[in-house]
Amino acid sequence: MMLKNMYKRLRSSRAYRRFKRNKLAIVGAGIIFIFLIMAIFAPIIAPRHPQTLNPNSSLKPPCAEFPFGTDNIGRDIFSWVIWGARVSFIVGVGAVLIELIIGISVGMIAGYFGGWFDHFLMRITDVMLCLPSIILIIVASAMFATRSIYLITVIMGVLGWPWMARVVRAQFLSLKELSNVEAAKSIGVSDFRIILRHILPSALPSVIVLATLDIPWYILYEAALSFLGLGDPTSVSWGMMVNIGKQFLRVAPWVTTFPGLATFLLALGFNLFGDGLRDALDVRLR
Amino acid sequence: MAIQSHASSIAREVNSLSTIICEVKNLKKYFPIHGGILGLQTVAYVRAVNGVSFDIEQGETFGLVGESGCGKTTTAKCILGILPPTSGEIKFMGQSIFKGKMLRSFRRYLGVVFQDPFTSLTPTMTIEDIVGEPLEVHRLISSRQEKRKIVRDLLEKVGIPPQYISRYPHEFSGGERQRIAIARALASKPKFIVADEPVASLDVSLRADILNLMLKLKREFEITYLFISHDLSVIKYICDRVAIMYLGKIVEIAPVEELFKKPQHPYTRALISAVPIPDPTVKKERIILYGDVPNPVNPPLGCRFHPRCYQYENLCKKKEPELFESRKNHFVACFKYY
Amino acid sequence: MKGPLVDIQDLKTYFYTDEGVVKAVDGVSITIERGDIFGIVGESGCGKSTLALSILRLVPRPGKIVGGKIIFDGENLLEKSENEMRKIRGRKISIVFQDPTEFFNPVFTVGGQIAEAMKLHQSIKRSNIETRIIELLRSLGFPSPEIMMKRYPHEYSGGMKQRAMIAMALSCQPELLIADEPTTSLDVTVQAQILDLLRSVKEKFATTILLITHNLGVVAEMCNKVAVMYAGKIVECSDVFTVFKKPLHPYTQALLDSIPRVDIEQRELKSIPGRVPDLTNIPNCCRFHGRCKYEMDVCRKEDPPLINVRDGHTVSCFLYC
Repeated sequence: MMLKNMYKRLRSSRAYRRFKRNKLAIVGAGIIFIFLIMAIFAPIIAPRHPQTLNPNSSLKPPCAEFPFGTDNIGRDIFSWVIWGARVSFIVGVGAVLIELIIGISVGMIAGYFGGWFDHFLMRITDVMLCLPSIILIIVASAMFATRSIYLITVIMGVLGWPWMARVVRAQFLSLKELSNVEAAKSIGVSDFRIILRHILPSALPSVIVLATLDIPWYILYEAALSFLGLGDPTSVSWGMMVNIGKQFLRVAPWVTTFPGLATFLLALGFNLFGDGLRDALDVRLR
Repeated sequence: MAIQSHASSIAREVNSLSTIICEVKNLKKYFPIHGGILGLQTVAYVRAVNGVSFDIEQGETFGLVGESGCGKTTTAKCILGILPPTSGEIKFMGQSIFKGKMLRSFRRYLGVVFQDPFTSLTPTMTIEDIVGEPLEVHRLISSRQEKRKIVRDLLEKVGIPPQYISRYPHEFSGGERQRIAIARALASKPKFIVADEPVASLDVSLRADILNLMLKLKREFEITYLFISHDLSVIKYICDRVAIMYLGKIVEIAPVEELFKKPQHPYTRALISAVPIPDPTVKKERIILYGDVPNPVNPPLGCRFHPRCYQYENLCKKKEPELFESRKNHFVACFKYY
Repeated sequence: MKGPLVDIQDLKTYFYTDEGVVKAVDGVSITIERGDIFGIVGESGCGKSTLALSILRLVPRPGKIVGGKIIFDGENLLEKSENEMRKIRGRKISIVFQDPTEFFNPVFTVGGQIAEAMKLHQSIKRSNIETRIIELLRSLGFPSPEIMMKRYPHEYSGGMKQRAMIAMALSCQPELLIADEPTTSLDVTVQAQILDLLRSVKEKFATTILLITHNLGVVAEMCNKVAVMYAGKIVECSDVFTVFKKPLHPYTQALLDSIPRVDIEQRELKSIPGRVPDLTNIPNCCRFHGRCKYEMDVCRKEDPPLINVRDGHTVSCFLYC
């Protein structure tokens, strides 16, 4: 119900119109869309399964059969890039969703109720923000004895929530002082209802913008982890292929280049989209 | 349900017994200022409300007037139960509001209209939901259709076309939003509405509309108003009785005619004389007060008004005058009238 | 015989926004003589603030002055270069705004900021500036100005900040002081002080004042001439007694009927039905149409011109054409 309302308001709002006029933002949205199609229809689009080994076609340069070439054990880079989009989306969007769920819950309670509760939660976030996440991922991976891509996603999300909580808390701190909240309190509306109906919907737009800008960060993060050899060796991720290809950089640069380029493009796409979103909403918030 | 009917039965009892709907006794509200190491110590207090007492009778429009920092909005918030008082007693319909936590069932008889029509309506809710919320909170309706019907009726009463029921606040003008706020205040059939500067943010030619609407609704639904404003001309038009506040205390209370014809407290006189009259042929004697409205953190000793008073004496520097009845029904806190 | 100090002829200032062209000032002509306290009164959105900013050519984007002339002391300000305008702002024409808090830079002392204005426009020796500032502050009613000038804006109260803003505006003794809602955000007792101050400023410094406000009481008290503005145009203009006692335009009459007063007994106040027209889509008819009780057929078809009814009393209404 709330989503339907938001959608209705979105379509008629000035922000939507302003967004449409931002060319770069449309480009960003387009890039995301293309990769999304790639990810969803990977089984259909990709010529072969990326993990199919063709030992005879090791380190082949781009040609008709393998548009992006192959790696040392004959895996088709082109298919790898297409299937890799799935992992990127799962990681990026998954981590952000976890970050949002935990961050919004913590932030809104801390921001609205204040007091010792707020103090306590903020000290936790302070501590968490100091922890070096790479170490934590290594430790966690060692603890669980596996390095599955899903685990990495969850860990990243769980490490990312403190920052989101802070943002949400800041929004709540200012929004709860407005007279619509005072009016609701005078009527006798319960705190729970005030938070969900009167404050959260106004706080969400800026939160969503920031979350959108976080997605490319996580995609790059996962790529970096894989590059360092800390990623999931069984997953079809772009970072993994970049990692594999770094040994053959001089003889077969295509192994690294194409997945790397894909990472760069998708991250750019999300950045442009998020920026456009923020610009469109910013003026409206003013 | 049990609590609600208990409140209603008390309300019925109160109705038949006394005519005082709201009693404020020696209300004090201090805001601590933190300082010291780690900001943990309280170094001073902002004495926003410093001993305020008045009664509001059923059916009257009681005005609370003062300039910025006088404590009128803080008093209103304590009465509404959204700010716990530091000390003092507030009784609403005969029942004590304990520590600022009013029984939720009593809130049904309370309505509020705030100053800013742009922030007092939640922008992400439809008008139907905003105006209908009191009905849902107090479980006065049993179905969505019933809520719709009641909201439509209310919108019509305040002059908003009922077909706009599914629109959002930003689609309405300031004056219309204020009417919607009034509709919301009326939803639960309240007995008492607190209006805090309801017309201050509106254009001059629209104010009459809202004021007339409030008067009409008062007659129709027998509502008591607590009307807070800094604008004396609005107060004169709509109120029956007025209390003038200065620096956290009441300095004068009188029926409105009496107050404007025979103001007694020097501050009241200065206030009335300061209001510019939209008639160039009227030449008034202007009482210009010296200095600015002082800070409620460190109020002056003795009578709080004496540093700006044009007729103070030695006694005023040492003792604080209390409200006392100088004329029939006319109370003033000034040593000149003792 | 010098001519009028300000002669605005058919000024048009439009805002080119996403939603369309907002015709904030749409053909305004007024004449301000030296020594006047000229009032422009109107409600929100009527264009009075835009008019004030247009005189100083400080209209923010997406606004643009698209037509007309602003003759100040014999010269058309719209033909001047930005450099020349900078010499005029603060020196010949000063402006005071509604919110004194936003006006001052919080990291500099008040005295320092006034000095900056003085140094910019006049060549005074450093040693003299301080004395001049102290004198100025004292004449504006500041107790212990030597101490006050070394304080920062946040140490001033609202009323004092407003005085300080007026001090800054007067520091170079301008010929015209534009006051845009100078007392709207102040308490009524402080407002009385500031209005008193403005009157004394006029006496002491012989400044001409253009006072812009929505408060009819302030206009009646302060001004000798007043123009009523509605939806970007002047609908009535005359001396203050005529406008208040014998208003001709239906909007002026309705406005006067809608305000409560402390001095007299009033019957029921009447507000004006309808809404202000959408400034992006002004139809080619009288702008007050739909809200006027004397509406005639012609009012729906044409825009009434501003005509001189008698002795400088101008009205824009078909009732008098």
